[in-house]
Amino acid sequence: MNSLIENSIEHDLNPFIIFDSNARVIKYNTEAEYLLSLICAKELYDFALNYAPQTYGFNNSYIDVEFNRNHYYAIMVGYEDDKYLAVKLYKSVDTAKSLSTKKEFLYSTNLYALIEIAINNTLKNSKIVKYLDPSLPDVLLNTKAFLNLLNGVFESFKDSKRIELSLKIKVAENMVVDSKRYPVCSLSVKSDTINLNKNLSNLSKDTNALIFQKKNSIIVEFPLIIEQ
Amino acid sequence: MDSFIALSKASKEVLKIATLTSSMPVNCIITGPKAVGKNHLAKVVAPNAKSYKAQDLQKAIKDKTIDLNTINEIIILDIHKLDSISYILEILEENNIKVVATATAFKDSYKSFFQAQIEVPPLSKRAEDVEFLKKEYIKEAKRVFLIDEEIDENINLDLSNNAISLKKSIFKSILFNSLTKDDIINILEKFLLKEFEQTSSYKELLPIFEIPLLRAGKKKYKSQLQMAKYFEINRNTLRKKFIENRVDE
Repeated sequence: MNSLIENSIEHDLNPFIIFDSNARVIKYNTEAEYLLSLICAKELYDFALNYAPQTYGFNNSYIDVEFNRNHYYAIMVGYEDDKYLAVKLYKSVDTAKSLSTKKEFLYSTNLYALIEIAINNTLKNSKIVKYLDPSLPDVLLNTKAFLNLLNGVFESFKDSKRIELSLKIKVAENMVVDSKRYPVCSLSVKSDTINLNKNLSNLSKDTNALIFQKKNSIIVEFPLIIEQ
Repeated sequence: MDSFIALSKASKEVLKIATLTSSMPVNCIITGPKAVGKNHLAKVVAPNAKSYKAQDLQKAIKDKTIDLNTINEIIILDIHKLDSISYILEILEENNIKVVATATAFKDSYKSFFQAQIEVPPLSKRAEDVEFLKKEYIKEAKRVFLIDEEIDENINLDLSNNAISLKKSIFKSILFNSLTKDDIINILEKFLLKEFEQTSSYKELLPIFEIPLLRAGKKKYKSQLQMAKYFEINRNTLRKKFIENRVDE
């Protein structure tokens, strides 16, 4: 029975972590391992303390928080003694996009060429400042779908006079696709004015990309898959 | 010309995008006015593809005279002339065929199918390309009209219809410069015979002779006073002719 409970926690889609009183991680499930690769344990511990119950027991709170590329709508924090603190975060369904590859649609794609084509499609009259990591290899992508997505993202900046474009690999971050971990490639498009293309999430459907919209920018993150 | 001319900044940029697109498994639409090199550029994007006029492809698909299973990429010329664009494109998509198409104008409905969109600028925005084409057309015209000697390259170029009007203006200019007095007399005779179907009035036909005479005289002698002297006619008569023929004085 205990094993069943432990395995259920281990395979939960939501991250579960037990901290000690020094904010050290004592136990965590698979999803939490992924989360902890994105943010540091201390940051998460401090965040959880804000939602801890006044006295021993468990407290559920509805929140709206984003840790890097994941959105969470609730948090459970509980403790039964002064030694350990249990934390569970609940993922928002809309961002819990599961990434998988349809291999027949993947093509080795030169990202720089793809970006140039997308700029030519939509932003050829804008001044574009590029910060592109020149060392990126060709990446396996659904090229058509990804270019459609880039076109949609760039469309949001069509009226901008000056746009900053950056392409880089995110340090110490991974994306899991079909149970395999890949480095994360991040394309950020930034400008003073954004006229958001509301079709972006639709356009990202056939890609392995995640879209994040911030105040002045849109970030596209995708796994750097080089070999099938 | 059997390749896309890219000597100006604008056309170099277009050629660069076409070359980048050639290595991508994406569909591409090439738009621009008539005779700017769209078909040549399509060959850059899909060098091994066969080109089809839109209606011919439509008919071939309808009559099943084309085996889509054996095709990887295809060029559709003037795609806007298809009766049902979405139907044809759907069939090509189902067969996983890379489509490169040309059209005179871009439509928003093309966006979802054509991931790459290339707009070819008119020749009026491509000075270096015009200069190159001018030289090539002059060479061709000299070959066609069997002219060996150097010709006056100060030609009034017509770019209103891009390469078509440019070529016409150059050929006309070279042909006209090579005409002899007898050629002109013969041409006028033929022209007048045709014109007699409309009018045989001497007064109405006279401007055909007088207008070039007045224009040339004005260019050569600058003032009407000088013209009257060399033409050996009265200055008032000459002025009357300028007014009657509406030639700028």
